[in-house]
Amino acid sequence: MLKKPQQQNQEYQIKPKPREKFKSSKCRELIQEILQQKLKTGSYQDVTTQSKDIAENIKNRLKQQYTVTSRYKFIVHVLIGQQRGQGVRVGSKCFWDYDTDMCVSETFINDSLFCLVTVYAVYLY
Amino acid sequence: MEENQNLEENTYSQEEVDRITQESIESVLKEVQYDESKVQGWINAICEKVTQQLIELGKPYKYIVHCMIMQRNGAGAFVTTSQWWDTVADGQIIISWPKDKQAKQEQQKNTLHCICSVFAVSMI
Repeated sequence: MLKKPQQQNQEYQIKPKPREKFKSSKCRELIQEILQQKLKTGSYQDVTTQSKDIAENIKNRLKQQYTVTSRYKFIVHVLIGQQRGQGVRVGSKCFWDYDTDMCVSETFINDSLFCLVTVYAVYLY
Repeated sequence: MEENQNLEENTYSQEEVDRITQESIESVLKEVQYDESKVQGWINAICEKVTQQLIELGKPYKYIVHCMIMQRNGAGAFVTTSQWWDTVADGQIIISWPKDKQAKQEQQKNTLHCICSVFAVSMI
């Protein structure tokens, strides 16, 4: 006779608990804070190191906020362009779970450059 | 052995994604001049085409396509990404169009830049 699978009181987590969910407003503040800090007096000259710095900084701060127990993966995309009056348009399309995954984007503009930071948070089931 | 096969089925190939993105951009932006009112439509078309084809690959991945089109007037642009994810399973591709070689040949004709980044995030 086949053995009946034992009923165990096990819970499988397939969705983040409400308090573990990615908070876009908090992330927005964080991005804005770092952008202000790094680019306030920034010019387009030293943009390579600058943008790397921003991306790493935001990622590390997010890692601190969402500790190892959270199952979010983060993608930080930093775009810095020279300001010369040219037309720019950015768009993105995501194929993911609308309930759990989130996208936040913030811009910063000064006389010599514009900066667009997009953060994607993707939940690992 | 079987496990290996499974692994192969579930991971995507970087070259495939590269080809798909390259072709999609090429098909939309070939022989067009920058036009503010049409850019939105082009971005939409590129993102749509890329995601459509990626989904058709039938892999257990979530995809993110990020596309920028900029008017060419000598201004520079710079893209950096930083990720916190599974470095083995997940992958990213950044493609700038036109390529350097092409750009030199058709310097007069090109009036726009396109930078397209594709991220694939594994679900398992």
